[in-house]
This record gives sequence, C-alpha cells and structure tokens, in this order.
Amino acid sequence: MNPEDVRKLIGGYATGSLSEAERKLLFDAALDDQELFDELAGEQVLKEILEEPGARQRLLSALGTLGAERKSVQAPWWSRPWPWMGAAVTVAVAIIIVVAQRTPLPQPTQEIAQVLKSAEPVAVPPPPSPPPAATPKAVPKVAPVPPVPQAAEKTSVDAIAEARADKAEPQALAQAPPPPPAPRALGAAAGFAAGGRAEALSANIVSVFGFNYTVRADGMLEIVPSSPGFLSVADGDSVLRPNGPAPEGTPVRVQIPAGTMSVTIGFYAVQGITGAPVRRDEASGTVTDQDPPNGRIAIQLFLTPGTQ
Amino acid sequence: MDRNEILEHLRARIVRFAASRLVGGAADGSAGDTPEDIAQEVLLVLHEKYPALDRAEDLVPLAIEIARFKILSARRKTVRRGEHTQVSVDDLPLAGGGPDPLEQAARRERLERLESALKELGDRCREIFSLKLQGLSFVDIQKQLKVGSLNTLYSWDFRCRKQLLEKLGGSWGEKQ
Repeated sequence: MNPEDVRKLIGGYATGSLSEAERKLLFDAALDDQELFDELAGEQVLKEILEEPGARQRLLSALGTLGAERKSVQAPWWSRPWPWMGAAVTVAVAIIIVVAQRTPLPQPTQEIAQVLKSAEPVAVPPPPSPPPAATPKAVPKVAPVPPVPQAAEKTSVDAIAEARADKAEPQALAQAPPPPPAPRALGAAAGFAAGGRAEALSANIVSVFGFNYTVRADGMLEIVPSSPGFLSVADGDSVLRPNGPAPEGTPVRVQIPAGTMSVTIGFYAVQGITGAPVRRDEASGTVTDQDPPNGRIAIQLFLTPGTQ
Repeated sequence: MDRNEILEHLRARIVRFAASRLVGGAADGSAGDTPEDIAQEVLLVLHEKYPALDRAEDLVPLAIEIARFKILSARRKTVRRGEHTQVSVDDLPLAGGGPDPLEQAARRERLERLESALKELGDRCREIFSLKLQGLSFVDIQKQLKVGSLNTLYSWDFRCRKQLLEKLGGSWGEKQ
C-alpha cells in the first residue's frame, strides 16, 4: 500500500474502525510523515468527542432518523409496506361484501291464516263401503231402513261423535222412528255449520267425483259437478232432468215443482249404471262418490217446508 | 523498527506538532514550555508508564494523546501566568480532575456541530459513518455494503471525511 493509500485509513482512527494491520500501516506511516502525524493528532479531537458517553448513540440516532426520513421519501411505492397492506385490506373487505351479499339471509317466518280442510266430510267415507263384489247385496239392505242413511249422512265431528255415543245401541238407532225436526236441523247445521265452510270445502274438492247442490228459497235446485259425469234429477213420478252429461264446474239448475217432498239425484261417471239413493235432508251440501272409485252417487233429497 | 527507533521518530513528530500548536512565547521558547519540552515530557511519560509498549500502532496514538494534554496544559499555564500577578493564589480554586464547564460546553458544541454536519452528508457517507460508529471495521463495512474492493471503501471514507471536515470549517473544532 503506497503512502497515499495509507493516508486514507485516517478516517477509521477516531471511530476505531481499523484492524490491527491497518493500524500498523497507518501509525508506521505517521512516524515518517509529519503531515499525517498532524492529521492524526487532529483526529484526536473527533476521537474524544466520540468517546463522550452517549455521543455515539446520539449521532447514530440522528443519522438513523434522517436516513429513515430520506428512505421513506425516496423509496418507490412498491417497496413500501403500506400500499400493499392497504390493497390487501381493500381486497379482503371486497371479498367479505361479496360473500355477505351472496349468502341468503334467514327469511322471517311468515304466518298465513289458512282455512284447513276439515277431514270429516272428505276423509270419512259415507258409509263403510263393502267390497265392489258385495255392493249389490249390501245396498238393498240399507235402502229400506230410513234411519241408517241418516246416521251415515252425518259427516261432521258432532255427527260422528253422536254416532259413536250411540254406537252401543245400534239396533235402537236403527229402529228409531223418523227423526224429529230438531235432529234434522242439527244435521243441516252439521253439514256445514256455517255455510261458507261448505263453499270453501267444495272449492277444494275438484278432483273428487261428486257435486255440490243447493236448494234455493225459490225452489230452484242448483247442482255443480266437481267432476264430469252423467246427471239425472227426478221427483219420484216425473223426471225433472233427464240423464245427460254434466260438465265439471258448470251449474245445472232444475226447477222443483211446488209441493214436491223429495227429489232423487243420480250422478254417475258412466252412463247407464244406477244405484239405490241415500237419504239427505240438508238444503245444500256436497256429495262425494258413494262407491269409489266407480263414480256412483244416488241421493234422495228431502225438502224442508221452506224449500218445498 | 524497535522501540527506540519508534521513540526517536516520535520525538521529531511531536516537536514539530507542538511547534505548530503552541503560540507566542510557548512556541518560540521565550516563556514557558517549548516544543522540545513537550516532546520530552511525552517521552518521559512513555518511558515511565508504558515501558512494555514497543509497537508503533500502540505508541503513536498514545504519544499523540499525551502530547495534546501537554500542549493544553502549557496553554493553561501561560494564561495562569498572566493572571498570577493580579489574583492571590489563595483565591484560585483548585483545579478539578474532570473537564471544566468551559471545556464541557466546548465539547457539547462540537458534538452538535458534528451532528449537523453529518446530516448534510450524502447517503453513502452517512451510511459509512453510521457503520463506523456502530463499531464495524472496514472489512465488516465492505461486506455490509457489498463493496468489491477494500481500497474502494478506503477512498469513499477518505472523501467522506474530507467533506465532513469542510462542513466543519476545516477542523474538528479544537482551537488552533
């Protein structure tokens, strides 16, 4: 190392940055070089400053703080952490929003008032129907006995309860005299205690073979089939409506002659078949298939004094 | 080079250095200590207190430090002599072992000037100086800064020192 290069080592003297070899080079050179010796003596001041307690830390903090400030100003944005952290937070928030919007919120339970179909008129088949093969034999046995059809026609809960209460005395019920007006009124009320219920119910029975009937105060019998079939109406002696097709939902109106006590309504899925009529006393009501699934309905509707 | 040769060289260096620092009567020998006296006192201290040292890298910095103290002492003695006829010796306070308030203020001022000057340096110079203050050697700094050649680092440091000295007015702050 030439003397000029050795002189460059002087900067490491005050800070103690010289290795042993560098120190030897420097001080050996200083012994022969007065100028270098004087510079070294001058460096002694700096050395004393740096040896002051806390001086190095003070200068280091000053350099570090300034360096950090300059670095923050000069560093490109992609080398700084904050832009990337901000971008990451933005992406995370966006993902949360998208996921939250796609997740269906639990729908509040909606309570809707509904008229439930009563099981009595539909679920309870009119009378316990015998097997199809036994039908011709069973029907004649039921037909001559007036009280039995009356009990079978009671389709409401009250009627069923009443029938159960009387179950212990079936024979007495069968031999009872014709029902007085009070039970008949009960039956009419039980048919559809509140009128509107029958309408609602009839609206529900669309696929069941049957019809709704109403006897108006003016003596007009209105029959609305709930399924297509062949309808006939007679008053015992005369035919009020000859047997013919009756489309589903189309009202069929038949004028009942004055003084008629009862009318027989036959409604069959197939033309040509017949059946023994079952007594009914209600001025209106719904009649369903009496011989499912054959589509066979025959009722004898007894008219009240008000509808005669 | 053995110890005696080193001391001979040191004597010559100290005399010339002291001559450049001492002013007035002290420098020309008309009054007080002369440069030769300073050099002699330094060598006396080295001879009495540091007989085991025989390497230039040990003796030179030690001699420089002792010489500075001797020169400062000579200066103080010169001042005292000027005041001796006016103030009773009983009124003079005893000198403490530590730096006096003036010296403390001067050191504090030098440190502040150095701090300000360092802030005005370039990034590379500040980084080198910072690493030096942390106690790293030139070899360590070379690895830290990934400088190819150690001589390159010497040159950088030499230029940085020069810039720092210029910002401080040519000296580290001691009265010449």
